[in-house]
Amino acid sequence: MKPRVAVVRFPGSNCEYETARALDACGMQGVIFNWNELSGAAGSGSCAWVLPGGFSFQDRVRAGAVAARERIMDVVYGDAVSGKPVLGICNGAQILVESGLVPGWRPGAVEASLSGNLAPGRTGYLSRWVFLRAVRGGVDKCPWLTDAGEAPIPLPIAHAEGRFVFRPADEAQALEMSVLRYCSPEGAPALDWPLNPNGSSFGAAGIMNPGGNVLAMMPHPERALNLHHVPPNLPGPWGELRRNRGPVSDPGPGASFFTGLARYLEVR
Amino acid sequence: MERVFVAVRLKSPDPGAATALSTLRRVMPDCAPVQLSRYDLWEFDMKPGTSDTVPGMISHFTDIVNPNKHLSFILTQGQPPPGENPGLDWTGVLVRDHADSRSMNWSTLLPRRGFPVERVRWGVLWRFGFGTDAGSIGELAMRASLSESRDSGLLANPVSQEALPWK
Repeated sequence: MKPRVAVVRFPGSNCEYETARALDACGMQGVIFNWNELSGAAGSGSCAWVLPGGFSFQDRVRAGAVAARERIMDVVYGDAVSGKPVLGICNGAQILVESGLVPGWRPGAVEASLSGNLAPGRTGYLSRWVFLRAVRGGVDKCPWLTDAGEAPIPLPIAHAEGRFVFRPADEAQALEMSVLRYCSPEGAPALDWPLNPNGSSFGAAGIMNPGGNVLAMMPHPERALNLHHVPPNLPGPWGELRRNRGPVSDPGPGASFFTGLARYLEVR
Repeated sequence: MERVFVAVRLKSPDPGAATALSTLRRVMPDCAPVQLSRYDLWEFDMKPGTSDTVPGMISHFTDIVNPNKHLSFILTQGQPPPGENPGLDWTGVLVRDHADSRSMNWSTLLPRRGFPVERVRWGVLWRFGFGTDAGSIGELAMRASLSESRDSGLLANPVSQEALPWK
């Protein structure tokens, strides 16, 4: 039987179907629950959770702030603390940060922020492809990253509030939690615009919790599931593969996040 | 330098304020006000003797005030916006990012367009209307604002934002 993974749809989520499809394509069963289906979600026997991208509650007050206070997050919180894998993608990442699940040094306390993009001469929403790399500590510890390797991964981003910020006193331990970092197409660290698209601390694209089971990432792996999602003009091996007309239904650069989880769940 | 504040609100009911109020009522009922209003608050540091040019300046930019959908008010520091329900006790909290592109870019753009501006800062002014028997309303508003955890505070993430009292 395929492992079930719960995908939570808040009012304003808009990536739940792509996320569930990505889970299905990688050997799991993605099941979408509405944010107010508490008993269904809690009793679903899901092995993991995904909070998909979108604009929950229209990003009112602050992206993710209202969804983080919904009762379904009590269930996600309980499962996360008990060690179940939880992935937040884009708006899902904002919800995890506002819930205090990442960085999660003191679970439940707000210890980070996903603030407005900070880039010279521009304001607001940014949608484009970026490159990121998984850091070794994350690959070893985080179920979502076990297949990520160390090569640069191209993924799309689409957000206005994606800049990871930490208190100055927390920066040393925050660096350890920053397991996905923006980089150049060749893999060099990217701390500044334009390779770091939002001014994120340490070029962080994704942060895990100390246990490694919760990952909050701003880029969208579900939008790069197959090779046909990759723009042909992208630099690097993935763009080259796409230009050389490899089988377009082959796995794309985002698939490794979901196959990694599938392998982790199989082993367990 | 002369500092001018411009408060901007929607003419229609503000969905952000409505959602914030319903969330506070659910999560922190002891701190929830009776009414909650939301304003964009623009702080313009103008060159000496030029503060009266602010209304004309902002009339060029519908990104700041769009007369089709916004009402705007010139305020002095700490002054409440007009039109608040006199039957309630009002207090305010100004929430600003420690660093934000909007403030930085308007601080560059307006002088480049020839306006006598030294610096712009943008923030959100939340106005809390409490019942007259609510007690220490400044303290209640600040507790409702500072998001220390998922069940305490909502309007400002203290890692990246400051929350300042605005009487």
